Amino acid sequence: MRTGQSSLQGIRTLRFRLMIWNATVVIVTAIVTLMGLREAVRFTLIRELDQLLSEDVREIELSLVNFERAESTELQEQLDRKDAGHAQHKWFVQLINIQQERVVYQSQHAPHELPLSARAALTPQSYLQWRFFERNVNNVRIRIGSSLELIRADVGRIDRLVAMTTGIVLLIAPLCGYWLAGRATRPLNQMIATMAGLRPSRLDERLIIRGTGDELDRLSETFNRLLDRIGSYLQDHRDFLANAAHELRTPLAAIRNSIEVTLAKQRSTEEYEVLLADIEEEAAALSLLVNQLLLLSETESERLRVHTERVRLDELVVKAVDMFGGVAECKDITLSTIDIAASEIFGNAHHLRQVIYNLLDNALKFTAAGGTVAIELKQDGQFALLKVSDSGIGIPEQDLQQIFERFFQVDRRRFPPLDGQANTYDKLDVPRGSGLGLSICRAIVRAHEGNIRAESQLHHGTCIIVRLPLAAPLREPSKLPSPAEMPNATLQG
Amino acid sequence: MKVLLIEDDELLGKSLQRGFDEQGFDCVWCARGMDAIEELNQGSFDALVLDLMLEDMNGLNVLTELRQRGSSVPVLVLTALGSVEERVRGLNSGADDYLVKPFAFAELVARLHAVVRRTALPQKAATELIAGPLTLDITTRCARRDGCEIELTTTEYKLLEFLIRNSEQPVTRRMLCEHLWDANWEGVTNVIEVHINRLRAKIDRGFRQQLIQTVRGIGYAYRTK
Repeated sequence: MRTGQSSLQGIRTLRFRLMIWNATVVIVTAIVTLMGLREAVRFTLIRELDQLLSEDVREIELSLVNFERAESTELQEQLDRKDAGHAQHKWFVQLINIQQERVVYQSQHAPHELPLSARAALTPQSYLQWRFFERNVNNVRIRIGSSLELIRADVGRIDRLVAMTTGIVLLIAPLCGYWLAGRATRPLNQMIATMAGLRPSRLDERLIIRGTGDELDRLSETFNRLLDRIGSYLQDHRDFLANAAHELRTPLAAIRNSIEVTLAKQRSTEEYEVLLADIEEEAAALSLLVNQLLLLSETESERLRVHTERVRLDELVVKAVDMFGGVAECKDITLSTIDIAASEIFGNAHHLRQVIYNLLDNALKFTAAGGTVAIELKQDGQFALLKVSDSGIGIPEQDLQQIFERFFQVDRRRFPPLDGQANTYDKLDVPRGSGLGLSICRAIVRAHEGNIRAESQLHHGTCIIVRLPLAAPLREPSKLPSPAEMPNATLQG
Repeated sequence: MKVLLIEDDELLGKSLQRGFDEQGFDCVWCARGMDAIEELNQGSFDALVLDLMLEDMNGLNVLTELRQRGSSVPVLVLTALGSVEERVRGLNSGADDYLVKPFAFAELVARLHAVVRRTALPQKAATELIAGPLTLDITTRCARRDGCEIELTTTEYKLLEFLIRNSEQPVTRRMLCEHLWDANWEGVTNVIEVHINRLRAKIDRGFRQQLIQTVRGIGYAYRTK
């Protein structure tokens, strides 16, 4: 059973298959070449014989015309001499009186079995082992021929040579093929050995690039790049886990500390209430963080693909504006919609809402009283463009690239001041966030095959632009009502 | 109110039971799904609080079993699984509401009251809701207090209707958010307060009796007494 399997595996190897292809090609080429050569030799020999015979015919034709009669003794003597000279080829000549169908003369090797056709064949004829020419002069048919036996013997020798060579090739080609295929596939075996040794925990090993630039080198390079990407992905996740744990520590420490302090001595009921309220607040912050981490990991693992539907992005925007309208009013910020185009995208409504909420929440948080926040939704070809712009404090240029990174927060203390005025960041009453909001946005947008970017002018405002692919329209696109016709479209703020 | 609590976590179960007892509920606590099914065989309950991940079975099995018997007891599902699919699956299996762990106890109590009330009073096809001095016209979406017409925006109307349908019971900000905007926004920003204030300005300003009251640490309540 095992040997059967291993021999099957041997047959399945690339090396074995290369050998088979190699050997087949070599053997077929050799046989075709040798057969071609044999035919060429045979053809040449017959051509040579034909040449000789046709010259002889011409000579005897002239003699016959010269002597006028076929019965002439001088002619026959000449023919006898010629016959003696060519005897070893079994050369022959026949002179036949056509009207009497009588052989006037024939040399000693002349065959008797040749039929007399009505007309003289002008091209060389083959009959049994004979090759001959015919020509009519007056009433006499000249027939000159020779035996093909010698040529056949020559060709037979070539045939034996072909058979022998083929046999040798049959034996050698697979062996050489196997050896060559082994050489060609040896790097592959090395690659397999290296890959087999890779473990997710230890991905530092790389395939050796031999510098030949061939397909195997390219394969190695591609694989190495894949390893790089996997490595950085894993590193990213390790960092994420470490950061998450680190971030969870702070509220946890606060909770433990509060409890310990509370329990340290007897207190009045009011004191207990205050301390417990503190703990509850810390616990709420902890829950929020945990939920955000879950949302992030949920979107980053792209599990939302399992749960997608047609989502009216404009409806979500209108609702979000309604929802945040009150907050804006409270903070004396003008929240306005610029242009909300009916846009349908394919995705997860629950997650898309989080994107809009996060963006609006951020915009409102970082904008001072009297400022403006505007939200715009328009279509750009196959994409929906969602823009949330504010007249807030902006983002320092060196931080702009990092705001979508997990746990990144603009450093409040190092916020660049504006013309000697007090720190604009400090003037805002911004509660400390988790630093996950925008990274959640990015993860969700990416899971929807869109992209998100930020433009910002320090002290003047920020604009976040989300690009999401639109869903292909249904058969009746006219059925989509514009937001103005929607029952819930109360724009406020 | 008789509540069956099915929760396999010792610590959470204990504190929930104590909390329910202090609320004046009659609470039976089971840690295992089999025990819960037995309890359901023996007595009737006003509400179920069901954890989805039990040691001996999936909480959804209890729910399916319950619904197959034709019981319409309101069920509030507790789950540690926050993903969308889980939530949808829970609601599709016949749960009336769900809460994702970790949650605030006040939230749980408020929602429990809401689901019990929702299932106890079948929605009558009334055109008016009357709650104390206030009448809410469902068709015109207008409110009337002591004969004065009060115009409401869509958001204000939905807010008031929800409060009235849960009158005398506190509702949490999250419940209001979910009702108004299908949103489970946990951001720090309190998005509901302004809408409540605006509504108050319309229906309570100038009256001695304040119908919309703030319940500290929980949310708001519509009270006529």
